[in-house]
Amino acid sequence: MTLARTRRIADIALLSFGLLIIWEAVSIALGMRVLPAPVQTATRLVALLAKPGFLRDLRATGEAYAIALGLAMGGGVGLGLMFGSSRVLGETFEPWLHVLVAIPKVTLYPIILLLFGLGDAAKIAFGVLHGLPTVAIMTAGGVRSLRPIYGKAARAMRLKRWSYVRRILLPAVMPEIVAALRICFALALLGVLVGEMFASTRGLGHLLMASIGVDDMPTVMAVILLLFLFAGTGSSVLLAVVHRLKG
Amino acid sequence: MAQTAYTPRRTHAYSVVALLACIALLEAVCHAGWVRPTTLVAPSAMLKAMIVALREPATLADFGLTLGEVVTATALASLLGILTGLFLHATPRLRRAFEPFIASYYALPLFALYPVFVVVLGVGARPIIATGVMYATMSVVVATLTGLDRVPHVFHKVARVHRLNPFKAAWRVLIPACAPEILGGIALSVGYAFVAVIASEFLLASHGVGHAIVDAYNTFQTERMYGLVLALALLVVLINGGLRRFRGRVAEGGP
Amino acid sequence: MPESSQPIHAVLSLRGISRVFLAAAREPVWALQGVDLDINAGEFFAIIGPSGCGKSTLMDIVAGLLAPSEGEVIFEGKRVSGTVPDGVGVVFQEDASFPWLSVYENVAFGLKETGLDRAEIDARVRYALEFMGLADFARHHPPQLSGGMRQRVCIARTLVLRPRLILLDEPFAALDQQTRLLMGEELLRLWRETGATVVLITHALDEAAMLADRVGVMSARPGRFIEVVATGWPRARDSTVVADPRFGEVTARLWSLLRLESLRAMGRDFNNPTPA
Repeated sequence: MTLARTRRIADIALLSFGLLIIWEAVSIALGMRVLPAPVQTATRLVALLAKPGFLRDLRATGEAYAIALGLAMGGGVGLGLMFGSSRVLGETFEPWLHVLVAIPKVTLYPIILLLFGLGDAAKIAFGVLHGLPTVAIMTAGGVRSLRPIYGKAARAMRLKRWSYVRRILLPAVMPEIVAALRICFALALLGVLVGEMFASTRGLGHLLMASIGVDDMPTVMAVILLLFLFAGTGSSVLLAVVHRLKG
Repeated sequence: MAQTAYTPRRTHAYSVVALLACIALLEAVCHAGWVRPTTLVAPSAMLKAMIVALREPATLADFGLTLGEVVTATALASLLGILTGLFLHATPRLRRAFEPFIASYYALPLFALYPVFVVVLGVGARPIIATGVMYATMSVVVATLTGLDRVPHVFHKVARVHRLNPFKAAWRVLIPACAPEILGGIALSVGYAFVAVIASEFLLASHGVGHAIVDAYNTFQTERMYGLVLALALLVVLINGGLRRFRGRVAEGGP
Repeated sequence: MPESSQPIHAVLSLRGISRVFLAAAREPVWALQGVDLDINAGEFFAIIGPSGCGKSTLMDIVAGLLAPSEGEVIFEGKRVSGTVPDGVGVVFQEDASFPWLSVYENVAFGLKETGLDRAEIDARVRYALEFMGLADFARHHPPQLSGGMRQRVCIARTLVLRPRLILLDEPFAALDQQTRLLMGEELLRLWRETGATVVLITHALDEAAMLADRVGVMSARPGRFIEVVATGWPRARDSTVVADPRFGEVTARLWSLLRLESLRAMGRDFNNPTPA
């Protein structure tokens, strides 16, 4: 590891430590009851991870999130490949996706609830709603930016459609897909969480709102900490992967 | 495979035609009674409900309130974002240390902090605006940093030749030089602020458009709910469209 | 600040200026090494040298924009360090006009800090605009003007502050030959009007020979002065000086010095390319 890289990591560690100190200071200023301090939060989180009730909530969120992510990525990549390959389909339906991305999807939540009812289906739908359009748009963009030689080479080799997609198209668009994954990773989580906060009886989002209701701030902060750690780590890892792929 | 020429107007037409077809389909499905009226409502009924709702002074007041919160959040976020951007640009080592946080910022479920704001700032408009500021600020910071990076190096030199102190240099040279980028970032942040404000209003449910929508939902006024959602969606599309054109113009530069 | 010793007529002295640039994982680059020079008050001094010899670096150091690794710069008896001294004006090679301000506002830019009243500022700006031939364009914005006019705006912006030392770093590099010659004449007018000391960096040795009282020739990197050639022109000169037979002698002398250094600079580039 070069000196510069070591220094950077040290700087980041120093900054993280600094942020923790600021958190501690704000906690003290506002009062521990209002805003629990870092140590208190970490302790509570560790305690929670041992409780079966909490683990149930964690699992509920995790499952919903995994399904939402899978559907959003699968549906998004599928639509993206279609819209990117076919000019007619792309130019007809992609504007819809752009509008969907522009609208605050929270606006559509009540509609989702009506259509899917209260419960897990709605949560997952929120997550998919947040992630899918962006993935589709990014994938379509990736397909369109492919050099035409790929298509020509495939036709020259008389590749069947599915072979073409699997062996040429997908690998070529992989950088855009991974970049889209990085964004979808965050958006799907956001969708599922807000869905739980809004209208659900289990999951981390629901736990958050319930804890507020009984003024249990340490739990609130513990859940937030867990979510931030998960999202932050995942995002950083994916960012590194994107950089590696882009070369 | 022959490629026919696709003019912009033609492709625009495809999109619109497809949209109209969908709307017509929805209309037919609803009138045929295949869907419960408590779940989905015909587009024509949505439109009617929207017009009825917008005639009520209470609804207009809600919209005004929501827009007010968005504007306040954007204004605060802009100020905070520009100052932070200037500060980070002037301290490159700190900026590099912050980069992973900046890159992951919008991946974090910042929304989870909303309950904390309620506890700290109390109930009402303040936690909503605070959540809006949280979301909107980073896009201004990033735009400011990018803009400052692009300021020609010679401008910094000119500021020093005129013996301007760092604050004067920032105010008279640096910020005007990257005004287009900053304004672009602010336009983007309006969208973020909107999302945060509406979502907060859903949860808090005491005033604003979000509250009105939730209220209609809870009282099974399905048509009214769809009407309000439609009104909000149209408003946002209009604002975003306007901002995008504004950003395009600003990017061209010139007096 | 201790008074440093300077020859009686010298307003600007460079003593042993050296400047090294360190880059990670590369050899340190000595841009300048052991630069010594005295420039007299009210003189028009030109600096020429091969590409990459450190001319711009030297000017940044003289202006106080860059610190030397070794040595010192003395201006009006005081050491230059850290900040740009009062009374120094700089015109850069790149276009430094501010696109969001009108020509008038650009020129007035520095005056806003001086606390002069509006009438005085207006008088000075109008005079500078007239002098540089920009009076008709006061309300225009730089993006609407040509490259030469934008440089004139930058010069007017400097002129309006009445600097005692004017530094110009290849200000006419981007202009065509005719415009250069005419701008050179304007520079001479400016010099006579203000009575300032002018240091002009240029890569065009005919421009140096035509405009300057003395021309300093710099070596290839690491830069230092090999020789200073005096032209002996009268103060009231213009571009017609090119017809004077002495012009040919001066230019020939400069080229004979410069040619060797330019070959050295190029030779180094061919045999041992160092990334910029």
